Amino acid sequence: MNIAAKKESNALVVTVSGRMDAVTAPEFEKSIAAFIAQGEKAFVINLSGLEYISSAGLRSILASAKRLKEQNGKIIFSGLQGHVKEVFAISGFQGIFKIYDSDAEGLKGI
Amino acid sequence: MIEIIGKIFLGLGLMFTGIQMLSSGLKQIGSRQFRMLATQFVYSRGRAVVFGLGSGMIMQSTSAALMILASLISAGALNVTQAIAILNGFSVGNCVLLFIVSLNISVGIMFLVGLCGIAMYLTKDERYRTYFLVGLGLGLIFFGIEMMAAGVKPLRQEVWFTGAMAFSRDYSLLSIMAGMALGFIAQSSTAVALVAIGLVRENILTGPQAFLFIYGAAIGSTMFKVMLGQAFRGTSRQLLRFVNVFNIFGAAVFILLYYIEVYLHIPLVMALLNSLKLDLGPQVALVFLLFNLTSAIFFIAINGPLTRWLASSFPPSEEEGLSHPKYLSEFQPQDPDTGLELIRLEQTRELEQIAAFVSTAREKYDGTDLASRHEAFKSLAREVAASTAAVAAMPMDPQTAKEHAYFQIRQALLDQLADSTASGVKIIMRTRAFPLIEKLSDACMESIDFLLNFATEIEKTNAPEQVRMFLDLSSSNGPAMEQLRKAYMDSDKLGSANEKGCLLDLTIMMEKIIWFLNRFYSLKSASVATR
Repeated sequence: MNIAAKKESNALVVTVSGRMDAVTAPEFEKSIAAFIAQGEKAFVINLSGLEYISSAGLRSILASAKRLKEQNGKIIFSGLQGHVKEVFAISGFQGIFKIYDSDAEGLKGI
Repeated sequence: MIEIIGKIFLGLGLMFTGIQMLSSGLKQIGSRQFRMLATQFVYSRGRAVVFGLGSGMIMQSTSAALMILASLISAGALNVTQAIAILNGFSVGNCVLLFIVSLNISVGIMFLVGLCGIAMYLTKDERYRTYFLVGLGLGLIFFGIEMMAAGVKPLRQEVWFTGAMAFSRDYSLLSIMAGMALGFIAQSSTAVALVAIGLVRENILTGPQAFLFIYGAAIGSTMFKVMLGQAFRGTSRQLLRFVNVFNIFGAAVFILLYYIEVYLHIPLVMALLNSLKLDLGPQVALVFLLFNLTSAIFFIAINGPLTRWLASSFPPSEEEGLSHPKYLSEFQPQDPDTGLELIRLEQTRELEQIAAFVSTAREKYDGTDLASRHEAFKSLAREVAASTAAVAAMPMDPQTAKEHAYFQIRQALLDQLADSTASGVKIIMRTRAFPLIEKLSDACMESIDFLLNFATEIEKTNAPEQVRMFLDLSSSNGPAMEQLRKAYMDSDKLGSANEKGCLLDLTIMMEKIIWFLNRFYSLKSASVATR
C-alpha cells in the first residue's frame, strides 16, 4: 500500500493506493496519527487508487476517524470506486462519512 | 433349500427389526432421565458404575449412551473419568437382554408380539405406544431367533452342513473369524450373541463355538467402530476409543483363556459353566456377562492411567472449547443478578463465535469448519438458554426481571443472527463460482466481518458512543443493498438465472444479518435508556 500526502489550502489530501488489509491497515492508522500529531485536523482521503479494502482496513479508518473527532477534526473521502465503493455502501460507512467524487469537490465540502 | 435360506433371512430380519424397535423405545423412555440423572450420580466412582449398570439394563444401547455422555462432557456437566465409570457399569447392564432371550418362553412370546402389536395399532397416546414398542421389539427378537433357528434346523440333515460344522469345530479360528465378520456387519456384539443363542439351542453350534463367536463379534464390531471413530473428534473420540479398547481387551483375555483351557487342560471358563449345569442358551448369556464384567473390573481398576492416556491421545477439539460454557459453571442458585452477568459474558462469547463464522469463508483458512462452529454455537446457546430459564425460576426484583427479559430477547436475536450468518457465509462461498458477482461477495464478506467484530468490541467496552456509531452504520443498509442489487440486475452483466438467484440470495442475506445486528443494538440502547 502507498500513502502520499499533499497539503492544500484547507485540508491535507491523503492519497491511498494499493490494498488496505490486515498487513497494511496499521500503516494507514499510524500515518494519520502522525499527521494529527503534526497539527493537521482536516483530511480528504483519496481512495481512487485503492483496489481492495478488508475489514481490518475499515477498522483502521474508523479508529482514525475517532482519533480525529477527539481533536475536533474532520475526515471525508473521495474517488471511491469498484470494490471499495461497495464495501463502504454495505458496511454503512457511506452513511456516516461524507463521500465525494473528486478531491476538488471534497475540499469544497470540507 | 430356498425355504431354509428364506427362513434364516426372515429370522435375522425380524431379530434386527426387534433390536431396532427395542433400542428406539428404550431410548425414548430412558434417554432423558439418563441425561438428567447422569450428572447426579457421578460424585463417586461406585455410584457412577451402579448408575451405569441400571441404565444399561434399561437402555440396552451403548451407542445412545456414548452420544449422551459425549454431549454432557461438551456441556461441562461431566468429565471423561466419570463418563468412563458410567460406561463400565453400562456394559455389564447391557447383558440383561441376553439373559431374558436365553429363556425358552415361546408361548409367552406369541402373546407378547400379538398383544403389543394390537395395542400399538389401537393406542393413540405416544407415551403408551413407546412401551408397547419396547414389548413388540423384545417379542420380535425372540420370534426372529426362533424363526432363524427353525430355518437352520433342517440343515442338520444335510451332509455338507454337518461336515462343515465338524470341520469348524476342529478349527476354532473359523468360529472367531465368523464372529468377527458378523460383528462387523451387524456393528453389534449383542446382536451376534443373540444369533449365537438361537444357534446353540438347535445344536447348530456347540457351546465353545458360540463363545468364540461372541469373542470374534466383539473384535468385528470394534473394527467397525474404529472406522467410525475417524469421524469423531476430541472427547467423543476418547469415549469411543475406550469402548473399542474395552471390547478388544475382553476378546483378547477370553480367547487366551479358551486356548489355555483347551490345550493346557486347565479348567477355566468352560469348566465353570459346565459346573453350573445350565442349558446352552443361558451359558452363552453368562459368557457374555463374564466377558463384560472382566473388562469392566479391569478398566475400573486402571481408570486413572486410562483416562490420562485417552486425554493425551485424543485431546479436546477446538470445537469442544467453543461449545463449552466458560462462565456458567459459577452459576449460583438464588443469585439472579450474578446469574445474568454470567449469561451476559457467555452471550459475548456467542457473538465472538458468530464473528468467527466469516473467517471460514476466507481463502487459505484451515481452522475449524463452518458447520462445526455453528454446531458448537448451538450447543453453547442451549446451555445459555437453560441458565436463563433457571434464573426465571429465582425470586427477583422488578429491575432484575426486566434485565432477565432483555437477556432472553438478546439470546433469541443471537440465535437468529448465528443462523443467518452461517447461511450468509455459505452463500458467499457459493458465489465464488460466478466471477461477475465474486467482487460483490468479497465486499459483503469484508463488511459483515467488520460489523460483527465491531459488535464484539462494543460488547466488551459497552461504550455508548460506539453503540450510537453502530446504529448509524447499520440503519441505512436496506436502501444501500437495494441500490447495489438494482445496479447489478440492470447492468445486463449477469447472464444465467443461477447468477441472478445467487445475487438475490447474497444481498438479501446480508440485509438480514445487518438488520439483526441493528435490532441487537437498538435493544441494548433502549435497555440502557431505561436503567
